[in-house]
Amino acid sequence: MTDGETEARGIADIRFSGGRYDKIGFPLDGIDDLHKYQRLVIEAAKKIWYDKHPKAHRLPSNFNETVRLRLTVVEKGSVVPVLEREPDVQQRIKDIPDLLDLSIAYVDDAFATIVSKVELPDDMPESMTSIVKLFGGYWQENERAVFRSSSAEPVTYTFARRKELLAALAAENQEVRGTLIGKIRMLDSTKEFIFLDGKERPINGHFSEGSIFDELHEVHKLSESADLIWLECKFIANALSGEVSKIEDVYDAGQFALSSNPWAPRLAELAAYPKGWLDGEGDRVDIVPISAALAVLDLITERGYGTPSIFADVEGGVRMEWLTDVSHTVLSVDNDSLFTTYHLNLETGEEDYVEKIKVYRDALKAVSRYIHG
Amino acid sequence: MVDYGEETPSVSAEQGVEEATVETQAAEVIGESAFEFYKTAEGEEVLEDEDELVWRQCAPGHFDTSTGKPTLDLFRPNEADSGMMSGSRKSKTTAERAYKHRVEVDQKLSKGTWAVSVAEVDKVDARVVDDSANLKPPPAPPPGHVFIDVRHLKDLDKRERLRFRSTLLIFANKRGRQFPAP
Repeated sequence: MTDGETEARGIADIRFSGGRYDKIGFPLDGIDDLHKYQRLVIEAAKKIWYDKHPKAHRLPSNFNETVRLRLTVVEKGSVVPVLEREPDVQQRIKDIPDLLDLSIAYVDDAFATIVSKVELPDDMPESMTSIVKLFGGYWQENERAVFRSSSAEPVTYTFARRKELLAALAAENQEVRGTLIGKIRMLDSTKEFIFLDGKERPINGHFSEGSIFDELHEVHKLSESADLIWLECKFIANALSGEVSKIEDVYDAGQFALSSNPWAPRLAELAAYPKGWLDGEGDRVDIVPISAALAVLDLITERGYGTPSIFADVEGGVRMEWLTDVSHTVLSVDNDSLFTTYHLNLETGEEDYVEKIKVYRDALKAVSRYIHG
Repeated sequence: MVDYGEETPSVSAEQGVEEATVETQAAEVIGESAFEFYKTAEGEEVLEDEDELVWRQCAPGHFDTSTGKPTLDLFRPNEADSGMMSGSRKSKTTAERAYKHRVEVDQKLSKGTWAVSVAEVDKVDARVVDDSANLKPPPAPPPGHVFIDVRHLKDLDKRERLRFRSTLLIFANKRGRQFPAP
């Protein structure tokens, strides 16, 4: 046991269980996780300190020593490592005397987020992310770490959860070749630009070919007059949310629609779908069917044919659907700009199907009597 | 073009059941072709109660938020389905629990639970099969898991596929989203 000054569970409330940890003693492989845990606490402390001192360029001297932990004992009967402050460290960070407690709480909260949402906290620094990925790397399938283990709300991080987290992180940033619809807000001769997506979020962009500058310059002028433009480009997107974080290169660009066009936001959304958008299935939707759909939709607005739902289909086309309690009317356009129409009315038994229509006006005409008014 | 299933009649290996074989039954007609249901595996139960509802989860890509409507692909079997579209049955779970299982246990996104009845599935020459007895964790199987069996419809042409999906979609839309409340 520890000396009389030691609390039963020490300052950090973490334990391991399952598999090798259910036997008496602490498996030596587990020491590695304790080391990683300490590194997480130190990196959390740095984050907390820099958050409080945003203008600081470096940490106070001996900073790490003030938040370092020491394993003093492993309690018998269960594997509870008792972690305490370094015994001979008297120095504390002056304006954050409880920095070690705050840092441990941050790590606990981070794992609570990981366990409940299978994602890292938004504010977690990169230095911690890399350690989190490695934490538990030697676990067997039935082993786990329990944070806040003696509290009323312990957080259990299991082998399975770790596997899910790693899969989610691996899928997070995906390179996509696709179409983005939005506006250009800034363009300079260093081949950098800022793109505003359909939700007016700024995205930093770059292009490698000098000839693209002229095209972008042209559409930039359109953007300034509130027109939406399309970019055929390579971008980085979060595989789960689809949110684009960066445009890495541009291959082509052109005018799309006025930003006041009511159909543009939905079509922009479909254009940004990555390949595999439907549980691994689903081709990307390129600008050909998107533009063809826009032409139909503008005509629908002009003729007052109501509001269809708009979807991507798994083959990379766009589908417009009018759905009622008794009927369903579909107008779809594929990658070759060929239209298909379908109508079914369960009440009357009426069914109508036409495929390979080349002209969008003809396609709309084929379904107009079903969707009029 | 999207197929309803594989060329060779089979069931998912994950379900741990024996390979299915074609069973000759009294055939109804869809389009021009007679069809035969596949033989059910041991432990599977073909639902007979016409009023029983089948819960179906709607993926985000199958929902247009601006109109609040799902697409006909809500009833499109994906490649992993092999002609067996997953759902769960009302008599064994609620629309809310089915939704929460999808989101919290399967960790997949859903825009809500829609429903069609066994009778409505029968109208498109398909059937509902309860295979919950054959599903073993991990992962934890959804309570009351069933599948809409369309393995025998893999040769439908494009128009017939549209008819199948549109019909079920109209029924589901008429009933409205079951959870969360619209």
